[in-house]
Amino acid sequence: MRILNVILFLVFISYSFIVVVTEKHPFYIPKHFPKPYYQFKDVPQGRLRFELGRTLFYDPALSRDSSISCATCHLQYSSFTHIDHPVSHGIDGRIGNRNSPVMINLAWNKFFHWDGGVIHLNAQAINPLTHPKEMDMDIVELLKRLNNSSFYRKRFYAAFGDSVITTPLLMRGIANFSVALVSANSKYDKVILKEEGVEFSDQEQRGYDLFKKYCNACHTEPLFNSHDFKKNGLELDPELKDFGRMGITERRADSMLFKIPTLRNVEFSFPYMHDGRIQKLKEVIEHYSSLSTGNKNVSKELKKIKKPFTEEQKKDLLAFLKTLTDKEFLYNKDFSFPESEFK
Amino acid sequence: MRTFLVSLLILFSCQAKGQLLFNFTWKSKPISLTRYYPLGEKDSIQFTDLKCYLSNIELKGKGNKDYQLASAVYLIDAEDSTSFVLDRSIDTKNFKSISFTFGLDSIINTSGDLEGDLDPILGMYWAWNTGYIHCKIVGHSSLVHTPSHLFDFHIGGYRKPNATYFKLELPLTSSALELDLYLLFNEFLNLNLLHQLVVPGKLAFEIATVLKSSIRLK
Repeated sequence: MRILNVILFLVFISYSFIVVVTEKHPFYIPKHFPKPYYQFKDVPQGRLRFELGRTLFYDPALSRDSSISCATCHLQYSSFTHIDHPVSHGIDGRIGNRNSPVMINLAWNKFFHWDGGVIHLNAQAINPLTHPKEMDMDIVELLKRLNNSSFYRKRFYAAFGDSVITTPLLMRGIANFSVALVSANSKYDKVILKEEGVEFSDQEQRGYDLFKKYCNACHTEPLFNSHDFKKNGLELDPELKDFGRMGITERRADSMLFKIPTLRNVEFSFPYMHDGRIQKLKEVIEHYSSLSTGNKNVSKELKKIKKPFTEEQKKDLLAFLKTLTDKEFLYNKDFSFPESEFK
Repeated sequence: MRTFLVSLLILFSCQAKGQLLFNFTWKSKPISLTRYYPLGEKDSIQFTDLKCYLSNIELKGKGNKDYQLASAVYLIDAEDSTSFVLDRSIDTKNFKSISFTFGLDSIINTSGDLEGDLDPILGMYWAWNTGYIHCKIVGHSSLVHTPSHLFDFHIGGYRKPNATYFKLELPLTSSALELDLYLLFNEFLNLNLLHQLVVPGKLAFEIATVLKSSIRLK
C-alpha cells in the first residue's frame, strides 16, 4: 500500500511538471492591438519562465529586509497599482514621490515611469529593486541571496538552463511575468470585436462619442495611451517638487510633462495622476472639464475643451470609462499570488 | 604593497609586446587608489573609485587591414588591474591609429543588454534613467568642506545636446592609453564649489569634454 502511495505521488508530481512545461506562456497579442514595441528576443518563452517571474514578483525576499515585494505596490485587483495610496510607500514606510503606475499591456509601452526615464521592460525592475524609497536592495546582495537559495537555483535552472543567477537572468525572469499582463477583455473590447450580444448602452455610447472627440488624441484606442508626455493642468506640488519629464531630458520645455497613462481598468486604479492627488474618477473628469476656463498649463490637445462638460456629459464619460474594466484580467488566477510556491 | 604590485604589473605590461593598455593617471603617472596627491598650494586629493567605459575600439591599419577589438565594451576599473589590458595580442607597429568611443554611444546605452561589462552590478547603470555612467570619479579632498570631504562625479548621459560620449582617433604612438585627471581637478573643477554631480546635463557634458581632451597615448 505504501509503495502504491509513493507511485501515485510520483505520477502526480510528474503530471504537474508536464502540465507546467507544456502549458504556454500566457502572453498573447489581441486581435485588435497594434504590433508591440517590446523586442521579443527571449521573452516570453515557456510557462516555467513565466512562473519563475511570477514567484519573483510576489517574493518579499527581493527587498532589503524581506518585508515587501513588487506586488506590495502593484496589486492585481487594482490593475497592479497601489490602490488608495496617493504616492507609494516602500521599505521602512519610506514615502516615494509618485503614484505607482498600473502594469497593463507593458509590451506596448515605449516608455516606463511617469517621466519615461526607463525605456526597457527587461531593465525596468532594477529601479524599484534598488531605489532607497522602494525595495532598497543592492543587486549584488540580491544575487547572493538568490544564489544561496536552492529553491531559486532549481527554478532558474528549469526556466533558463542555468542555475547561476545573474542580473540579466533575474531581469528576464521578472520581465517574463510583467510582459504577460495583457488586459484586453473589457466590455469595450467585446464591443469593438463585435462579440455577439455585447453592445454599449446609450449612455456608454454617448460617453464613447465624447471620449473620441476630447480624450482620444492622448488616450488613444485601443491601448488608451499614446506613448507621449503632456501637461494636463496640474500645478507643481511644492513639497514633492516633481518636474516630470524635465528630470530626464534636462529641457525646460519638458517641465511638468508626464507620461500619458493607459485608461484601461481606470475604474479600479485610483487615486489618479502622477502623484495620486485626485482620489475619484469623477473628480478627474471634473478636472479636465474645468480646464476650459483657460488654464495655461495644458497641452494643445486639452485646449479643445472650450467649455465645461454638462452634468449629463460627465456621467456619460464616466459610464464609458467603466467599460474599460477587464475583470477577467483583474481576477485572472494566472497573475495572482502563487500560493503553492510559498508554502 | 598592493600599489607596488599593480605598478609593477603595469610597468611590465607596458613593456610587453602586443598589449594594448589603458590607465588612469595623474601627471602621467598611474594613479594609485588611497594615495594622496597634492592639489593646489596646500590641499590634497585621493581617489577611491575610478571607472570608465571605452567602446568600439578599432586599430586602423597601415595598409587596408583594420582590427576591431574582441569586445564592443570595456569597463576600466582602477581597482582591477586586469581591466587595464584591452588586448593581449596586438602588434601595434602594424597600425597607424586607434579609434574608439570614450563612453558608450546611444545605441549601446539603449540596447537593454545587461551582459558582461554592462551588468548593473558593476555600479555604472542608472536605474532611474535608462543608460550608463560613462566615467565615475570618486574620492576625498581637503577642498571639500563637508565632514567626509567626499567628492563624487558620475559623468554620463547619451542624449543630445549633452551627450557625454565622444569618438576619438589618435595616432598610435604607443600601446598605452591614459586618462589623466590632473587637468580636470587643477584647471576645471573647483571642489570647494562643486563636489558632486550625479545626473546628465550641461555640466556633465563640460566635464566629459575636459576628460576627452585628457585622453592620450603615453
